[in-house]
Amino acid sequence: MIFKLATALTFGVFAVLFVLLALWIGKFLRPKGRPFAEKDYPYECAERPLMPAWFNYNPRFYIYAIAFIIFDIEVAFIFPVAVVYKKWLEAHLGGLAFMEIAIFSIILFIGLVYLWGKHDLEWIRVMGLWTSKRSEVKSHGQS
Amino acid sequence: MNPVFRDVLITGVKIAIVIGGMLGVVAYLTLMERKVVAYIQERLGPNRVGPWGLLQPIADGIKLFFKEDVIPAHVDKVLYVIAPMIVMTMAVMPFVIIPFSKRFYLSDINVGILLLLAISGINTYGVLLAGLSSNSKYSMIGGLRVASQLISYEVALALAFVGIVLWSGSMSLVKIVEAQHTIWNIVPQIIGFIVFFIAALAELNRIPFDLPEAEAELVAGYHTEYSSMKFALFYLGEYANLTAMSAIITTVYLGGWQGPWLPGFVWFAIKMFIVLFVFMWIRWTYPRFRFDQLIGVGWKLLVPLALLNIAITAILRIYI
Repeated sequence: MIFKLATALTFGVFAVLFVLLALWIGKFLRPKGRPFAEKDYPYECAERPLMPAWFNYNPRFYIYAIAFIIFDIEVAFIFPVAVVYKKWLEAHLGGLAFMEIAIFSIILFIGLVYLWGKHDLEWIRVMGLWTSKRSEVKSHGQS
Repeated sequence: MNPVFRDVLITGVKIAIVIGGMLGVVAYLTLMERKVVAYIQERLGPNRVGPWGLLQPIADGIKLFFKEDVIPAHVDKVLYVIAPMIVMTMAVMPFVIIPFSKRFYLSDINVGILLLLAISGINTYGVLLAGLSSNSKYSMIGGLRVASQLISYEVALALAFVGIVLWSGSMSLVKIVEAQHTIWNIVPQIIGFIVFFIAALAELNRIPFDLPEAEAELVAGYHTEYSSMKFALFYLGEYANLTAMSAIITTVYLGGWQGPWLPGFVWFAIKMFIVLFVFMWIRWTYPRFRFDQLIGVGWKLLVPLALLNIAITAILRIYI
């Protein structure tokens, strides 16, 4: 097993070396010097940029990130059960294994339903002014 | 000869063959894509450099070596240089565990699928860091978009993998291929395959999921500020990711090297290129999603479908 992992690591090192080589060879071939100061500016279709781009971004991104971490950890916990499932079935422990998979999947699914119900899966979240407007439209439509 | 030394030597040669072969495939994939596009749009495509444009990838590569390398003054230099390296390295890494034929594979790791997921997780860092370190608005928006897209679809991808592991009873790709001796995984895992294929398209940032580099709104997305060889690394990384994903789909769902008459390696190549062709075909057939639709498809359609697939597989496994 250690030999196999060492192979993977060696492969990674080779890959990094290849990338470094590709970046290094160009050094001797490409032209040097930069004739225009404008080359240092960020590309904004020839406009002078007003502010740095490190601004506060839409917080929806971070909600997805948190959801991803929770789901990914749960998936990582499912994998061990999934690996032994076949063997346990052969050893007539199938019911136990099936229950484990089922409980995991159901917990995962409840999490998804909760996120869905809180409108956290929608890019444009329904809240505040939007909610009232939308409910008005709905009530008009229904009446 | 000392057996340990011999093993190390053989592994070294294999690594060289795999990296070299992969780079060759990736270089000619750019030509293949351009040719496929051209014929879909009733054009001829590149045909000036060499017969049938066969020397075009070499000409492109040489040109990129000779391009001026601009590192703009406003970037975060360390992250800016590291980002393309992460992308390219992680695009190559999946090939370490893919069995190309019955005998020829680099390493049969017993947690192969977890390793694949880890690699694709690190890949996200590459594009996100490229977007953040560039300090350009287009790059920033592209980088954040790509991050939220990749993590949304990675959940679906991982859940589709769970179905495979349940069915095959192993996380080692070599064993998964051997378990497909009688029937390919695509038949019992058809829902999983559909989920995996759509999620793979999103992970590769290809149409209809190419929001991160939507050229009409974001110029080039997260690699707007990159030039010369660093840009080439992103470009190559994209195609290397495409090759890796096709190889993974071939291995996991289409029976890998298994097939009658022809040697295993030939079967692997045939299946991989069919999957690659389908990826290209889709790219030039469908329009782009809107961003809220894209997130909606990932969480509201693919994740429940993948969970359903796990339930079906677990029940099927009891009776078969």
